[in-house]
Amino acid sequence: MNKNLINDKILFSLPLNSAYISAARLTASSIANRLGFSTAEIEDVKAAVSEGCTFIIKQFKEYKEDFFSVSFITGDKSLLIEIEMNRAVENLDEDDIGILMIKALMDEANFTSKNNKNLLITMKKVHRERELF
Amino acid sequence: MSENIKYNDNSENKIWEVSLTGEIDIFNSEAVKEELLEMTDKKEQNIIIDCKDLSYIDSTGLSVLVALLKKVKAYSGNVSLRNLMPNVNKVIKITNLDKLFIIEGDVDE
Repeated sequence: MNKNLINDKILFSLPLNSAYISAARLTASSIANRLGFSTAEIEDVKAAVSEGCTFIIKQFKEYKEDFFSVSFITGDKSLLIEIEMNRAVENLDEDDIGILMIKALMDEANFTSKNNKNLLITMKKVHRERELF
Repeated sequence: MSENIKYNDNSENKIWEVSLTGEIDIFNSEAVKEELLEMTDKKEQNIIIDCKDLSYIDSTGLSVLVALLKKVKAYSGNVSLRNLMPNVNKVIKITNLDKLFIIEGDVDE
């Protein structure tokens, strides 16, 4: 792998507006492509990021003025994604179809709340199908 | 009217021929749902959905397909999904929806 691409963090914030989820998908796709993930892996990352953003928007739809963050952290043969909203979630529905999709598409997925003050979705995709450039 | 859906009444075969295109996500899934349900209000017949130009569908889009299937099953009809792209086929499989819909055509895995 190109060592210049390890441990970089790409961070951006999005309003709680579903119109911009496609921007998160495009960014996820672009970064995963740059890291050398296969086409199937890129589609998995893209779909999981989109589901994470959709989950946040559905949970906090009454806070239309708020923003949430999406971070991409490049690793050695892996990509870590953190989606965070600085508001507490009352009941985290682990049976939500979006959550189930994220768990199925990614190698690791966690849904946590720090001191009941935020919602943090972390997910990781490990490169398997070929060596990174 | 959603840009992501077109449909045609094949009255000879008593089938709604539907094409879904582009990306269906939380932003446009409700508009797609309204059109599909309006379509079945006009005539109760089986539905074939061609997905060859559907590049992405999220969980809210899948929920729309399930709502459609529920309505069609109520009048003893069927919904077939045709020409799925590999990524769309994958999300349909991981959510077990391939057991509810009739899946037609080759999927290029």
